[in-house]
Amino acid sequence: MDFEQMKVIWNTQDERPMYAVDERTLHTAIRRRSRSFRGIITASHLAIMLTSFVLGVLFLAEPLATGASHHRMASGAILLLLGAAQSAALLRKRRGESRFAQSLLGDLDRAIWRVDEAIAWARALRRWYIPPFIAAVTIDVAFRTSLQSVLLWLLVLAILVVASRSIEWELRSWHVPLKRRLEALRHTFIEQEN
Amino acid sequence: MRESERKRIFDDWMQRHRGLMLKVVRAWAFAPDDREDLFQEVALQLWQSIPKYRADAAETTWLYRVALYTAFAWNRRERKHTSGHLPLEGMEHTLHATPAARDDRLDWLYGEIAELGEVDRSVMLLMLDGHSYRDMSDILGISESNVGVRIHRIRKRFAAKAIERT
Repeated sequence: MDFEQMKVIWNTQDERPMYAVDERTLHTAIRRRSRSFRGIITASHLAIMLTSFVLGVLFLAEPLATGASHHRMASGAILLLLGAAQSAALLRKRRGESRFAQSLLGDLDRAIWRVDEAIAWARALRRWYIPPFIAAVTIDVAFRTSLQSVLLWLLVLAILVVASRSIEWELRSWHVPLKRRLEALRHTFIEQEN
Repeated sequence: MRESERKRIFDDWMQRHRGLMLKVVRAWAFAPDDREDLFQEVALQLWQSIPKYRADAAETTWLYRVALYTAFAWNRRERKHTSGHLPLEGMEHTLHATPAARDDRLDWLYGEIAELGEVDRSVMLLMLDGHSYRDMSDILGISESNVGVRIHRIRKRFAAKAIERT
């Protein structure tokens, strides 16, 4: 059997469909799969950005409105800066997405880059976002003496510790192995070039 | 992009290029549940790719790129429902095999294609579908000489396999 004969066999698929497709069920399946979980890192990125902005505005609003609790302005400013830094990081990421070649290898490079970005962001989060976030809340709590404020501070700390551990887990169990697999696949693409 | 426009394009692609998607699915997935899973995943990625599609790229080039990349990514995920393992629970069935599905020669061809590495497998599919070296280079992102070397290797392999079969 030569290659031309193989093409004849191959082309029979166009003449006699091998499968019928239930299009209504397919649309349902697509909607269901679109809603699947995107990952802790993506969710926490958005959550921290929104929380920083909302809390920052709330912390600034009180002293501006009442002329009291000026210490909150420091907390509010820190949180707004964190929110702004997160937004800038997201915008930079969006711009970075468009610079890859429009090909399978380009898609692979983009996927590897996304994993690198996720890893870099997760590390930056633990180093540059969580400590200032804790500092902002601590400044606010330090000026109050109620048990509620202390409990709130402990709750925020617990949430951030859990978030940090979750991010570490996602990096180790998902992103780092994924990067290895993508790089191995990339190697098979370009091996003939060398 | 409006939802209705997106649906119109998707339904049009499904109508005209369903064969292309099914070829990629058959080349990467071998158990019925895996084929169903991969087909749905390819359909999802095509749906999500529609707003990014620009008419200056040929449709089949775009669809092949999305379908092949999805197959690569799918192949790397752990799946409990690979042949002999648990069926995928709660999965809707969108594919229904027709009587024309059984063809020993085609089964042999797909069996041999499955033995190829993923990049060679992609080249083989594109070659069988009549794409030029240039098209393959554009879709895969590798040089035309790389494509040529792979094609030479694939043809040699299949010539030997065809002789074994007779």
